[in-house]
Amino acid sequence: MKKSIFFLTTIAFIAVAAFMLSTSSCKKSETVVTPHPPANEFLTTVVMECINNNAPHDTETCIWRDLTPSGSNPPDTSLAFLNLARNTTYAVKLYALDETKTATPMLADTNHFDINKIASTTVDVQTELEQRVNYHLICFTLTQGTGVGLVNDLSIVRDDYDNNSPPLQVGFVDTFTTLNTAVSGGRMEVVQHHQPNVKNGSCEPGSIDYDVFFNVNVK
Amino acid sequence: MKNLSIFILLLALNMGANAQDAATPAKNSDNSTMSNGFIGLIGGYSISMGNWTHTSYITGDAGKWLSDNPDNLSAGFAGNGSTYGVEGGWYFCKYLGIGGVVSYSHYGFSGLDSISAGYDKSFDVDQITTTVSGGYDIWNFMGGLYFRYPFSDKFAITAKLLGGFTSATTPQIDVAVEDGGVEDGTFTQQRCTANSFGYMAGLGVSYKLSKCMGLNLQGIYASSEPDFLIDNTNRNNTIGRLITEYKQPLTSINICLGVTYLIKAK
Repeated sequence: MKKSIFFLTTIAFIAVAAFMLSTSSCKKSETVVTPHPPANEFLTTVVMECINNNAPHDTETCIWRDLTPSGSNPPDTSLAFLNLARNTTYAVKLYALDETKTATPMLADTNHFDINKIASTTVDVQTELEQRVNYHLICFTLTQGTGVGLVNDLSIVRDDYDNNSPPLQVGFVDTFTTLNTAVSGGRMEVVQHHQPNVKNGSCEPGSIDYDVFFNVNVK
Repeated sequence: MKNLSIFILLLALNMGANAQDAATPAKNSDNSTMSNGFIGLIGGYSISMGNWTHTSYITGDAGKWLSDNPDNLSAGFAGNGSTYGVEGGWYFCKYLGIGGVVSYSHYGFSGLDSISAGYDKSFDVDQITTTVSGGYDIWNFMGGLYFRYPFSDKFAITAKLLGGFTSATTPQIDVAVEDGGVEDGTFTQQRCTANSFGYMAGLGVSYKLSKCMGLNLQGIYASSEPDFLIDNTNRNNTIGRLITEYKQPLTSINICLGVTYLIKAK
């Protein structure tokens, strides 16, 4: 009996000690890698709409389109032209669309573009982007071009801000101002940066959602 | 699983002791055979309960984590764990005594997949890597009343009601963001320690192995509610889950086995 009790007690102590050791070994870190689920929306089309502040009927629209997100075909830049008047201020709005399921005749056009009247098969990706302003930034780069040069003739100001603290610019809504100088032309590169945890107001951090260009003339 | 095996081993051990005792004619219980005090080790499995076990990551439009959703704010992602400690007491009469416990509990993290997928949805990026380290750690320093009701000279039903100081620490959560082949940094919800009042209520059975050794099996309900003020580093926006304060009851049921050294007053 005494032997048995001694044996049981010894086993119990060993078990408790083993338990303590096992619990301390449970404190390792644990890691999970979550890949993004396959995208169900593509960003095929960027529309830039410029409304003359002094004459709202004077609206200039240009469209950059690539219906093959895989890059198998070159982008369609036939509508990527923007004609602006000298000494004029424009309220500018950018739209991003998914037209992968839209028939050619129903694609967005520069004539009388209206975001509320796009084809039912076209997805307005811009609405979603505007809900994610906290980690998006539009950056514009002008190339000098002809005449006095676009860099000297066009100023661009981002008008919209996100909800970060402090608020940072976004660039979906902008103001373009042309100067009262000679005729100029050039190229405008528009890049949407995706900056999920690195947005700091500058264009460098993050990845790129789209990188498109428009040929701009100031007359 | 390892913890469970050890728990079952101890349980079987205790049952074996009971069976052995059943074969021995019971003696009349009287005060002369009962110990006055005890000191021992306890350890067991701890089942977390309540809001801090919830794993909610509720998003709204465009994957935005809803910062005013009560489920989001109360979710603590606590898993089950283990507990062990040192316990001692002194019975100043047949049924009633005073004593205390110093115990440590560790809880794993539950819902790591859920939180990682939530961040991925919120940030709309190619990959999120979420690492949790530390788990929840809780230290209890408690004292209070002990009760026992002996129904033989070897067996007694025991109960306790303790209160005291609790110090708890939350896990560290590191979230690395990658998109378009670009590393977008790692932000961290830092480990945080907070103190509060805590209490325990326990019910169990004790078995006297010999004149100076005993075993016990206990079920213990433990609760505390520390107010964690959590630091988040390298966090540049509030789109994904962001907890800066967490105050929810840290409640658990502990199933413990103990080995005690019995002290008899001379």
